[in-house]
Amino acid sequence: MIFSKLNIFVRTTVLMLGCIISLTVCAEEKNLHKVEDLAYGVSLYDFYQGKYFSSITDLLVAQQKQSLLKDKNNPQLLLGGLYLSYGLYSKSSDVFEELLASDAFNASPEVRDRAWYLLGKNYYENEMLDEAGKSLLKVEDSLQKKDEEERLYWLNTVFLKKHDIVSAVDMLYKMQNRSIWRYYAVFNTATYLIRAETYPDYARQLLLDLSLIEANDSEEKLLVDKANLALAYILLKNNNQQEAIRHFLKIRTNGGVTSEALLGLGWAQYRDKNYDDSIASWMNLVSTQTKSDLMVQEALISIPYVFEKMQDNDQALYLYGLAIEGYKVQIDETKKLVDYINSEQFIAQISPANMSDEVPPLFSSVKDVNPLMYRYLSKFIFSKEFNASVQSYQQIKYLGYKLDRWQYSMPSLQMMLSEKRSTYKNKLTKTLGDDSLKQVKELIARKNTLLTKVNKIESNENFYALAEQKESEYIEVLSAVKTALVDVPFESENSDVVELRFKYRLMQGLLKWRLETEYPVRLWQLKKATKKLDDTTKNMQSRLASLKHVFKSAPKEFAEFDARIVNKEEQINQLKSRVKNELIKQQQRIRAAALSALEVHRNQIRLYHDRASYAKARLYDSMMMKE
Amino acid sequence: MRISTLLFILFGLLFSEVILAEDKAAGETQGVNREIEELKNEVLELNRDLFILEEDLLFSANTQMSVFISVDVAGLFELDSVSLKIDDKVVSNYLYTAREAGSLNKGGIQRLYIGNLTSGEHEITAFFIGKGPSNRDFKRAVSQEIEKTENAKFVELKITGDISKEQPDFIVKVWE
Repeated sequence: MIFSKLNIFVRTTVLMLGCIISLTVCAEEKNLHKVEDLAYGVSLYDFYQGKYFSSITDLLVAQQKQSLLKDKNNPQLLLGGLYLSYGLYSKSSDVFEELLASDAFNASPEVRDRAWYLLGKNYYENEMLDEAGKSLLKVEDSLQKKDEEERLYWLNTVFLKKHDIVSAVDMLYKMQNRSIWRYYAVFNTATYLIRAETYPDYARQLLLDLSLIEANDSEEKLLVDKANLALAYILLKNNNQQEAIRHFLKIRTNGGVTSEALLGLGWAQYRDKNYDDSIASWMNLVSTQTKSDLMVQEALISIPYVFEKMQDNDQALYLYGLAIEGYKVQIDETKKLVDYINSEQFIAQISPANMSDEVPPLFSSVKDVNPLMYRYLSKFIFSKEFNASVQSYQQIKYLGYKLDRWQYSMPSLQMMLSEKRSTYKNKLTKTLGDDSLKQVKELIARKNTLLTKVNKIESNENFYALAEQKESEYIEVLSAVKTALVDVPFESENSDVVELRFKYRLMQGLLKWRLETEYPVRLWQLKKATKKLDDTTKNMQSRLASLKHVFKSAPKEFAEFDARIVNKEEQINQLKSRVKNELIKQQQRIRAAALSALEVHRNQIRLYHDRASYAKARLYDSMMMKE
Repeated sequence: MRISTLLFILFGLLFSEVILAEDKAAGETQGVNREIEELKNEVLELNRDLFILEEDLLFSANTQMSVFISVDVAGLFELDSVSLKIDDKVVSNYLYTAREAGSLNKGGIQRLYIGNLTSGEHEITAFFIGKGPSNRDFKRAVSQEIEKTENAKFVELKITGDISKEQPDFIVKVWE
């Protein structure tokens, strides 16, 4: 029974704690599969896993390295949302305010509306209600339906906190009928009006409407039960027992407010002078609900009171005795719980099981929680405040883990730096030594000579210069033949010489024709080869320049790295000490809050104990006097 | 008199419950004080600086090579693991948790590998294992030659969905 009851609380708490997270996710849903910026996508990868610390780091690194090329507004919107989810409210405000002030930003209504919305949430978290209201009202019409409902819900909450009933009620009419956010807003508005003792009829009508909704899930069913319970108690207060009973009986017997309903039902029946039924309701409460429930404790003392009214004094005396014994047991058990909360085991239980786990489960969903905690502090451990404190404690623990990790990494970074230094000394000095430089210079000079030669060939159209080896041999032979023919005296001219001259001219013409024809192709190929050579030497020159730059700048860079490492080591040590102090403080805060909640419970039991003891003594005295 | 007192207490209890419901609806953490906020912020900034320092020291801009993975498969492929080879040498094997795979499906991009690579031509090969259409076991490899210059190189392994073929598609995209 208790667990089904607790489950509802878990769901409600988880839903509400995940509120902002889901908001930001929705912000990105539209952009799914369109992310073109790697750094932004990497941040989203961590964000979708709930790793806010890593996700913020990803964005900060990208910002620092200026690697957020596109979607400039979305990363900023994500960063603001992440700061908000991680509890860095002032940083979050800064981001949103800066975004909203930029001209380029206003071009996108969807992103602008979301920024106003998240900024409004941020102000609300900081209790800046005026600013929260203004920001939420600046949202226009580009939010998705679900988010719009949520915005109206927050506006309703803000107006209620500012005691602006008209505006708060106005928000209810703007919300869709079957929205969970509207149901919450209706319930909150009604309870506000009841507490403020104003517009009682309207408050009752709101609760009545809520009690009649068709509830589809446990969250809605719990709200319906609460509406019926609130109505029943109002009716009981106004002495309308019959109507109160009608609403009490509508409440589920296995819901989150069953104890309160059974207790109230008993009192309504008692007031209606229906004593047997009231005892039956309270007996039902005692037998079905957990013994530590304060409603059960109240019933334990109420049952003998009714027996007393029914003049069954023996039974009343016996039941007062049982109740007193029960209270003593409760007081002893809560004492054990006080000792447990003060022990190290309690701290171990709120610490994450795995230090490297950036997203440990909520304390309320941990399975092996001390049973006494569940028994006496169930509402407390499912409360938003307690879970937020534990989450904060776990986040600080994670900061400590990260700092430890970096501290262990520092020697490695130093080793890496010294490796770089030794590489610099050994390799770079060799690479940039005199011989290497001389070789490179010679190669470049030869390449330049070659280029000049090619240019000259091209400008003179000297196709003979592009002759292949065989062709060059032919040219030499023909040249020799030409010389020989010139030397032949005229009188020695005969048919052989004539033929030889003819063949020479033929061969000479053929060779010239061939070289002339091939010249464009050969020149193109030569130019292509020289271009490649030119590129290679340029590349070599660029590398040489790069090496020279490294050679020149390396000592300075090494010194900078040295300084950065030393500086960061100091920072790590300082922050580690602050983390340690903050952890101790947070442990104290959580302990104090748990003990304070427990003390309220213990005081109530002590009060019941005293009242039962007094009633027993009084009854005993009256019986003695009668005798 | 006694009943009225009790009703008053019960009414108080009931409305403390109401307030609790309202507070639950109030959403995100409220109790984090300024001191914790400052501490968180300072550690975040230090973490950023150290992250950059580590990267600058271990992976110089002119040798750096990063491989990313993104998924846009519209239900055609459920990624279980990835194995990455550069020049036939395994440099990363990654097995995905449900949360990580879900994060990729929503549009997150994972940096699968960061390392150093010399200038010149290299071959990058990725093996994907998961569940394909109709929940069948699915294995696929994709390979591409890349030219490493003196600038940092970013390679994205994209798993996309071909709706017409009802098959996942694996692409290597080199970012300039």
